[in-house]
Amino acid sequence: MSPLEVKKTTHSSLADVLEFRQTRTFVPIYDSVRQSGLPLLRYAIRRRLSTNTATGPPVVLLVCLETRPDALVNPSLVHGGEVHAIMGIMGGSDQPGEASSALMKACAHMKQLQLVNMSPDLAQLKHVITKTVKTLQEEHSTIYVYYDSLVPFLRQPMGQLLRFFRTLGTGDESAKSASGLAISMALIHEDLLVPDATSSAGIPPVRHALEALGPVTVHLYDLEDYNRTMDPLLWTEEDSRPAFAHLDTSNNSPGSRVAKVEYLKKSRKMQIETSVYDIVDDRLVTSEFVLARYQADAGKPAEKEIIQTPENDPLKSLSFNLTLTDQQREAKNNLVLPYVNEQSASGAIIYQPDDGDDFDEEDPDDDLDI
Amino acid sequence: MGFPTLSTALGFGPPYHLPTQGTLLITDTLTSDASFLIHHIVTNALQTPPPAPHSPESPPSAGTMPTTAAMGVAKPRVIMVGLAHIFNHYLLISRKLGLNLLPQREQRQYIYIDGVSLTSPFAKHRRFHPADRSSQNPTAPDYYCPPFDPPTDCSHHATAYTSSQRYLTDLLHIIVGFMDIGGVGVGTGGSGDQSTPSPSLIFDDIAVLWNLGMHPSAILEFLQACKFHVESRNGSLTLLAHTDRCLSGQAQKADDEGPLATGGYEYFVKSLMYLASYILQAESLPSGHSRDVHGQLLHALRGNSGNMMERPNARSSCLASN
Repeated sequence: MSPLEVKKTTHSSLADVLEFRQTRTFVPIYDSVRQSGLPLLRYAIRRRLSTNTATGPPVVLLVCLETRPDALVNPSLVHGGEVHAIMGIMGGSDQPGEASSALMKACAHMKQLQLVNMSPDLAQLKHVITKTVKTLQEEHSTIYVYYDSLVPFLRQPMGQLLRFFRTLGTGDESAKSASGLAISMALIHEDLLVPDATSSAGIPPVRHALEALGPVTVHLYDLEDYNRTMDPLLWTEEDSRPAFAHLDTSNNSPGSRVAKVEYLKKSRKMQIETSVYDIVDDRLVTSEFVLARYQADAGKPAEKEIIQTPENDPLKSLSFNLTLTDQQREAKNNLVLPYVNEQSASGAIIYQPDDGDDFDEEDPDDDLDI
Repeated sequence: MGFPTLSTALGFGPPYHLPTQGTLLITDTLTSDASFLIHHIVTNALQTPPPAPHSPESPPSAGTMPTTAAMGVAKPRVIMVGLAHIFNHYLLISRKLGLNLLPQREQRQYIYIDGVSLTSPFAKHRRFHPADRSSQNPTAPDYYCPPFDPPTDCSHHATAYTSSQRYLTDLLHIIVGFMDIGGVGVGTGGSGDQSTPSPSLIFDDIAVLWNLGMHPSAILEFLQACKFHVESRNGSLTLLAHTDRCLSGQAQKADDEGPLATGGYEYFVKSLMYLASYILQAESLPSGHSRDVHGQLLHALRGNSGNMMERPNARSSCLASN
């Protein structure tokens, strides 16, 4: 286990990011099976709904592709805010049985709930989201959009997703005056990102493309995974987990939830803050988390200066003498050893010819009698 | 009841029904087969007598998860989508566990959808079509999954997706239809209809859909819809998937050709984990094979908080050979 220093802090970048105090564009939260981002997303929605803006109660749009809207916002959290929800599901609003009416009943505290079909290119879903956002922007200057998973979007070509977000006004703060602002937060399952873009089950690596939408990125790690990421050399091939062993009993235990917030400033400098977090009684508790050997610049190990003192001298308890006096050291340095003279001589070979030597250059093997 | 010690180890609490509105993912390997868990769940659901609603003076014991008993809901209806075995397989094993599935089927307590016999397009050319004899055979399934014709051009995303979605939409309508038919003197689901039992939908195993060449996005959307319908009726969804190392992406890189070898199965299983509330991982022992112990079982909870593992419920149990 890496050396760990944990100190309490009064200010947290993570809380700022979750409440859109640091940036008002798009915040991707990269989570994994071993460290789910749903608690943080729920906390962010809860904080948003409990904070009134200057223009009135907050307006929140939930885009649910993996969870039910009532699992993200229950009636006690609305606090006078306005909650709209769009749920992507096979079949859309044409659901067999009585399930849709049961869902409508469970989501009665929301102002609007729409069930939308997931077509192959998500065209219908994008259309409904765009239409809803535009309608809300006509009444409110700023709306907050939360995606419980961006994975289905990321299976589409990246250009389509960026164009879709640009249409909503996401990632462009200057668009506020024109058509309103859609500030978004989305969960992205990082362990589904695959280097092979042809794989139909995974999603292509999109991190750099999404940086165009906002300067802030949040990564969630399990403590063990964080250590693996920071120092892969510590984890040899034998230490790596076998295939499909995505979970073990050490995941998500208190104190092992690590969030890394990357903030790209306008000066193009990257500010990184890593913290251990937990959500206790609806409060976000964070502690600054520093791996001691990564405090040095550029991730290089810090070189410690070793200062010898009489107390820590290992030679002082020996029964024989291993040290030299100054006089002995001077005599040792001035001594010229014999092989030094030999090495300084030139490398010429001196050969005395014999009587039987045959120096016939045309046939050097004449003396062999072949 | 299935395996009493296992019920206690899983921690679902008496009467050991699966938690309502929960999705359970079971993963296993060839060396540690977890299909016994399917039989355990079916037997528990059908055989355990309906519990009396608990009174405020006797709250459920601490540390146990909310169950159908805690919700005041009795026996669920089991809808088994058998993609790996025929009905007789489940019938014979259930008899060994002391449960006869035939009367349960007559009471519409147990529904069996056959995904084995006709799912493959080759089944269309069979001389003796199993569906033709359904009226005479008491062990014939309640429904046969129609053949799935994989598209000729699997590389085209939209074509493969549309073809898979068409099949899965039909299957979804059939499953939901079975959820909504009336039961005989059983507990109620969440829809308010007093004659409709809460469903327990089981897929054994879901990897067969992947192996048939269906598009993973379509499968995941289908399961998402199944979860939605099950949760709306206070039921539970159980999935079984194989996680042998040879199925992982790393092992398939060497011969990465064709729709089945896209190296994405591991990501498919991960996506199932995102879908699940509870995960049971059956693994072989790291120390090797033992005569009395077949493997170990990791029980992970995702729960409402979204945390994959909560300490009180994260446990590892041994699978004994009794």
